[in-house]
Amino acid sequence: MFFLPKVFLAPPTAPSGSPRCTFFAQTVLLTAPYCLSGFFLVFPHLVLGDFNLHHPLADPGRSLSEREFIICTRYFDAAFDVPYHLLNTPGVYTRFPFDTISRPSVLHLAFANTALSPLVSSWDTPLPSTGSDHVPCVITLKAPAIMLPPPTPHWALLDLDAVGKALDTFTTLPCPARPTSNSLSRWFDISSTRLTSLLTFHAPSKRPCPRSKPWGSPCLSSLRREYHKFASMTRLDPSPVN
Amino acid sequence: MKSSRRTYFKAISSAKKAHWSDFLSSATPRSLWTAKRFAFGRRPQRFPDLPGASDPAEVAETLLDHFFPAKPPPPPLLRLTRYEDYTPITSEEISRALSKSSNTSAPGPDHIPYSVWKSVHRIKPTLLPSLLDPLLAHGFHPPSLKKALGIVIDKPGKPSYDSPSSFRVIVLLRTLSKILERVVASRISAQPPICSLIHPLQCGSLPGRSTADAALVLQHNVKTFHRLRYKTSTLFLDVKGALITWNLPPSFLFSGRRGSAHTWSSGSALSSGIVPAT
Repeated sequence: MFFLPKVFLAPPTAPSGSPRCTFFAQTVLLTAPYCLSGFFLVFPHLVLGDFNLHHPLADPGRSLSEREFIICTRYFDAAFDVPYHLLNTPGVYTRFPFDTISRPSVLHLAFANTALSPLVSSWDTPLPSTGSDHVPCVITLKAPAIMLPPPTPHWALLDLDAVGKALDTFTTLPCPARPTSNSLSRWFDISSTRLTSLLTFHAPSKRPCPRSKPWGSPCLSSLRREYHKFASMTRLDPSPVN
Repeated sequence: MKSSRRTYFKAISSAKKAHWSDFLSSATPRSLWTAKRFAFGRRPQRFPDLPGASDPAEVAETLLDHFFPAKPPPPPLLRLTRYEDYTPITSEEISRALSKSSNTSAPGPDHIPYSVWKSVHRIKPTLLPSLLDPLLAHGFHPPSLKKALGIVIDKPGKPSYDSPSSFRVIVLLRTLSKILERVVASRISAQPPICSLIHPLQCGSLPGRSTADAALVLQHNVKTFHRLRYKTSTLFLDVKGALITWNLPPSFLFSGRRGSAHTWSSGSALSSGIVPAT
């Protein structure tokens, strides 16, 4: 699994809570089921932002008007279709307005897709205020307990000549004369392990392919080098000559 | 810069088209599914979202408990006796078993495919018989040959995937174990007494019979009873883990009165416990 999570954030130029930021976060949530179709669904994804939405799942203590409920349901249904899982702890406020008229609310929502949600350790607001009426939210991810498989032998490149020479001198151990189940099992394990080790020794390990694309060619590789050389030159010196 | 970019991406596009055309022109029936995967993309795999299992180790434990429930251990065999009328495994038997095995079949925990065993057997035909013969001579299957890799895949079209029953496990045994199984299966099917034990309508695990034969037999029976103006119904039973968990006498599976309304006959997939009654 590709561990680095894909994070959708509001554009850095947009201040948090601004209409542009809110629109961006809501658009990401609505279009996510269509954008993330196919292969990318297996990648861990995190969608978070100031949604300006109130929903009973995030803020169960808040009484919503019918209009508010209809609006927020549309977005949450789109999220659960992916499926995304809401990371917010229900009832933990993320906005504390300075005026005494408005109520505290949960406006900052965080969603993780199925690939990422097992890796989310916690969602919390432990940090003090930064001067804004929005409090920072901290999402802790734990490292996945994934053990990468060892490289497997490339059996197509097995050195049959060397294997033939090794097998000429290879003999199986003599079987016990009056075996028990344990001794016969041990004899077979030792014999088969000796044989498989011999075979594995003469087979090189699978390595990453020099050209990962099956349609690649040396000509295309040189063309790619030239293109990226020109692209970096243009980035460093964006003059009309380049 | 623009012309460079255009040339580069045009070359990539041309190379992709040329590769796709080459692939299709040299396509074989076996590469049909590869072509489908290239054309429509690979369906994303669902990670089991099981309640109470938060990390992969717990998910694996839950799936293992579901698919392979713990059974009481078999009584230990203290001393193994060699069968007196035992016929040793010959290299021809191994050759026949290997000839039926596909080189592209997925290997088990030792990652050794059939192609390697074929090469080994070609180089030294006495090696595999000497390795497998003591096991069969003593009627013993070692625990190391029972270890398998389990590949969990999701069943399509399920309403929710929060239960282990929404997934199935493909069990990949060691190829050495499957070679021994093929040898034993060919010996069993060649035994004359076995013909009287197997129901005449048995279609599974027999050479020359398949699911299509089971379906044709069922269709024939239904049409016969219709012609006699009988009311005909068919009951299919899919008993989960029937042959694994039940301690049935063999006569239950292989006997039955032919033509009776309550005849039990094993279906096309005996190992999965499908027992249609007609």
